[in-house]
Amino acid sequence: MGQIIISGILLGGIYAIVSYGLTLIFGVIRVINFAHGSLLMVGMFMAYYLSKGMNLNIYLMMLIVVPLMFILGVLIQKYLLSKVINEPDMQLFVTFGLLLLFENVMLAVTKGEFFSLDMNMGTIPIGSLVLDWGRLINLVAAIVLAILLLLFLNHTKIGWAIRAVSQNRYAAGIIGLRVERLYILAFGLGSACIGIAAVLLTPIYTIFPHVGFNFVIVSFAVVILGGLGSIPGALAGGMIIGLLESLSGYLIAPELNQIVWYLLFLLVLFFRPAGLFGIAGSEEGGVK
Amino acid sequence: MSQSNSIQTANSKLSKNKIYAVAGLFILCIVPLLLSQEQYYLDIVFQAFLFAALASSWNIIGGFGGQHSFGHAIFFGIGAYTTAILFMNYQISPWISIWIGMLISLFVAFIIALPTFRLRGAFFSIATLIINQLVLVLVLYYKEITNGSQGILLPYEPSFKNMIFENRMAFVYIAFSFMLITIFVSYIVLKNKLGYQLQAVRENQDASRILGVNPFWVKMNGLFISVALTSMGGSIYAMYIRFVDPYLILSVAEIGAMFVLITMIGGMGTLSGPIIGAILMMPIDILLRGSLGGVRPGLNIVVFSLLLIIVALFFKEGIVGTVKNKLEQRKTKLLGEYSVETDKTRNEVNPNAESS
Amino acid sequence: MLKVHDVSKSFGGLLVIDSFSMEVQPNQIVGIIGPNGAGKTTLFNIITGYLSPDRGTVTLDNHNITKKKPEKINRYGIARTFQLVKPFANMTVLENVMIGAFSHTSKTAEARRIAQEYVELVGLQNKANEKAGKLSLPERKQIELARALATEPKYLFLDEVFSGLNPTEIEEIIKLIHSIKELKKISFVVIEHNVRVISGISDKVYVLHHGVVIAEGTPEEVLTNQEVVAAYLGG
Repeated sequence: MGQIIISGILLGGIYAIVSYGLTLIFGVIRVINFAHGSLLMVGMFMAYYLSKGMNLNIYLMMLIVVPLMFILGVLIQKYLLSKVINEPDMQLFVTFGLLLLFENVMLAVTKGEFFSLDMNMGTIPIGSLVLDWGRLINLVAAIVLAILLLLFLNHTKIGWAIRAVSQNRYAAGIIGLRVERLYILAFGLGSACIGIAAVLLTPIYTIFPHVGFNFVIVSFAVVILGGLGSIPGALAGGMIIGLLESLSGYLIAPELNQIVWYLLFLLVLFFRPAGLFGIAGSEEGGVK
Repeated sequence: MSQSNSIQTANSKLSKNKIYAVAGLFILCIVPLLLSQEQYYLDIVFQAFLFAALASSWNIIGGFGGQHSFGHAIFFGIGAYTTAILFMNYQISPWISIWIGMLISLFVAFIIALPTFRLRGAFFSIATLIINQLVLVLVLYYKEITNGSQGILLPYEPSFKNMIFENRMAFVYIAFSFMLITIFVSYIVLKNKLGYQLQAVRENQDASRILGVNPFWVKMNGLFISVALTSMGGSIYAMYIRFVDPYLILSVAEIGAMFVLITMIGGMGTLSGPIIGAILMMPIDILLRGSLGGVRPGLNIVVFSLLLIIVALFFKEGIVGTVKNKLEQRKTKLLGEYSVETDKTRNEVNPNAESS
Repeated sequence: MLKVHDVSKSFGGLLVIDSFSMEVQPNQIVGIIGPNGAGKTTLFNIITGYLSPDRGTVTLDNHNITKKKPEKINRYGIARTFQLVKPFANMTVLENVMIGAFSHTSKTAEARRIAQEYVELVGLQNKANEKAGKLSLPERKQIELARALATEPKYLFLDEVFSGLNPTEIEEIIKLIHSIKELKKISFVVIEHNVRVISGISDKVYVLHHGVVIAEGTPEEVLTNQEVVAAYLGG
C-alpha cells in the first residue's frame, strides 16, 4: 500500500509538471490549447534526438529544448492564434489542427517507431519502499517550478503585467500594457514549461507520436480540477489524479485505472467548472 | 428595391440552387457506373459517399447548432458494434440491426448530452473527446461482449439479407442512398423551426432564450437526428469492411475528427459543404494512404490538418462559403452596386458597460 | 399588469438590488433611470429570468413568474433587447426576426410572414436578406427590436436602446416606440441613463441609485426631486 501511494505521488508530479503550460496559456490568453500534448511530444523528440546526437546527459538538454520550445510557442501565437483572437471556434480548429499536424508529421518522420532512452538511473530503496530516480527528480522539479512560476508572476514587473492582462484584457490595454505582446510572451512561457516537462519525461516514458494524446487529456483534467489558471491548483490537481490512478489501478483493475479520474474530471467539469480549489466563477478569473 | 422583390429574388436563387444540386447529385450517381471495372476506384467512391453522409450528419449538430462534438465516433461505433454483434451472435440481419443501433445511439446520446450540454464552446468539445476515450476503454474492457482489442471479424457470406455483396457496386449505391437520406434530412431540418432555432443557439444561446428558444431541447433534438444518422453510417461501414476494429472505429483522429475536418473545410453549417468537402478530401485521403501511406504513415492527416489551419485562419466559411462570397462580390460589381461601409467603429464592445 | 414586489439581489455580499418594487400597467411606457452600476440591467435580468432574485416576486396578470426560465417567461408575453446588442450575426435580418415569430408558430411560412411584417414595421425591409452581422449599430438595434416584437409580447423591456445613437437616430427610435405602442397596445419598460430622453417618452419614471429606488412618479415630479438631482450631479 505504501508503495502504491508513493508511486501515486510520483505520478502526480508528472501530471502536475505537464499541466503548468496549459494552465498558464489558458489563464492568460483564454485559449484552450488542444495542441498541448503534441507540443510535449515534440519536446520529447527534441530532447531525445539532441541527447543521442550530442551524446550528452538528457537533463542538460533543457538548455536547448526550453528555448526552442519558447520560440515555437511564440511563433504559434504570433502567426496563428493572434489572427483569430476573438474567435473561440477558430482557435479550437487551429489548435486542434496543430495537434493533428504535429502528431502526424512525427508519425511520417518516425514511421511509427517507438523510442526510449536506454539509461537506467536506478532506484533508491527507502525501507521497504522503492523510488525511481527519474520520477523523484521530476517530482522535485515540479515543486520547484511551481514556486518559481509563482515568484515570477507575483514579484516581477512582467509577471505583474501578465496577471493584469489575464484579469482584464480591455483595462490592461487602457493602462498602456501591450496586450498582444504579452499574449505572445505567455504562449512562449507556457511552451517553455512544456519543454521543461518534456525533458524530464524523456527518460521515463517511451516516445512515439501519439504519446502526447494521453497527456493532453490528463492535463485538461488536472487544470480543470485545480482551477483554470492556477499554478498551485495544477500541482494539487496533479497529485490527486496521480494518487487516484495509482489507487484505482490497485483496488479496481489495472485496465480501468484511468476510468476513475476520467469520471472525476467529467464530474468536476459539469458541476464546478472553476475547479475544486478555484472560486466559483473564476473560469472568468486569470492566472494566480 | 421593394420588399416583395427582394424576397422573390431569394426564392429564384433558391430554385436555381436546387437545379444545381440535383444536377450535381445526378453526376455523382453515374460516376460509379463509369468506374465499375475498377474495384479500387469503387472503394474511393464508396468512402467519399459514406463520409459525405457522415459529415452531413455531424453538420446538423456541429454546423447548424454550433456544438462541435469530437465524440461522434462513439455513435459510429455503436452502429458498427450493434450490427456486428447481433449478426455474429444472433444472425440478425443488418437491415434490422441498423435500427436497433440507432435506438441505442439515441439513448447514449441522451445520457451524454444531459451533462455536456451545460458546457459551452471548447469545453463541450473537450468533454465529448474525453467521453470518446472513456467509451474506448470500456469497449476494450468488456471483452465478453465486444471481443476487446481483437475486434470483431465478420465472415464473408454474401446475400442481400446479410448486407454482404460480391460486387462492390451494391455498397456504392447503399452509401449513395445513405448520402441522399442525410442531405434530405438536413434540408428538412434547415427549412423548419428546428433548423432556425439551432442556428439561433449557435449564434447566441443567451439571446435566443427570451425569444422562446429552449436551448437544451433544441440541441438535444439536433443531436438525436445527427447521432441516429451517424449510427446508420457505422452499421453500413461495419458490413462493408467486415471488421470492427475498436482502435479505428472509435478513433478520435481517424473518425470523429474526420467529420469535423471535412465539414470545416467544405463549409460548416451549409447543406453542400460536407458533401463537397468529402468528395474532394476522401480521394486525397485514400490516395495518400495507398501510395504514400505505406511509406510515410500519417501524411494524409498532415495534408488535412494543414488545410484545416489554413481554412480556420483565412477562409472561415470553408470552400462553399468562400466561393459563394466571391460570386456575390462579382455580381454586385457587375451591377455597379457598392455596399455602403458599415459603421465598424461603433461595433466595439464597451468595456465599461454595466456587467451586473 | 406586471408587478415586481420587494425584489433583492446581491453578488458576493454586495447588495445590487435592494427591495425593489414596481408596477407596469398595460399600454404604458415606464422608464428606469440611474447612473452606471445602479443595478438596472440586473433588474432586467431578474424580471426576464436570466438571474434569480434572492428575495421577492415577479407576477404577470396573477401568474407568478419569479425564477422561471427566460424561454418560459417569453410565453407569458415578455420580451427584451440587450444592452450589448446580440443579433444572430450569421443569419439574415429576416431569419433573425423569424426566430422571434417561431415562439408562437411552428410553420416556417407563417413565421416568415410574421417576420416580414415586423421587419417592415422597423423599416428594415430593404435589408431583409442581408446578414445581421454586417449592419450598422442602429440597424442592429432595430433588428433586436423587431425580433423581440415578433414574439408578440405584452411587455417589452428595452435595455439602453438609445446608447451609441446620435440625436436623429434617437428621435427615430422614439417615434417607432410610440407608433408600436399605439399599433400593438403593448407596454414598454425602458432603461436609459440619459434623463432628457427618458422623460420625453415615459408615462412613469423610477430612479435607481445603488440598487435603491430614490424617486418614482411622472417625469416632471422626478426631475424636480432634490435627491435625484444630487445623485446625478452630486455624484
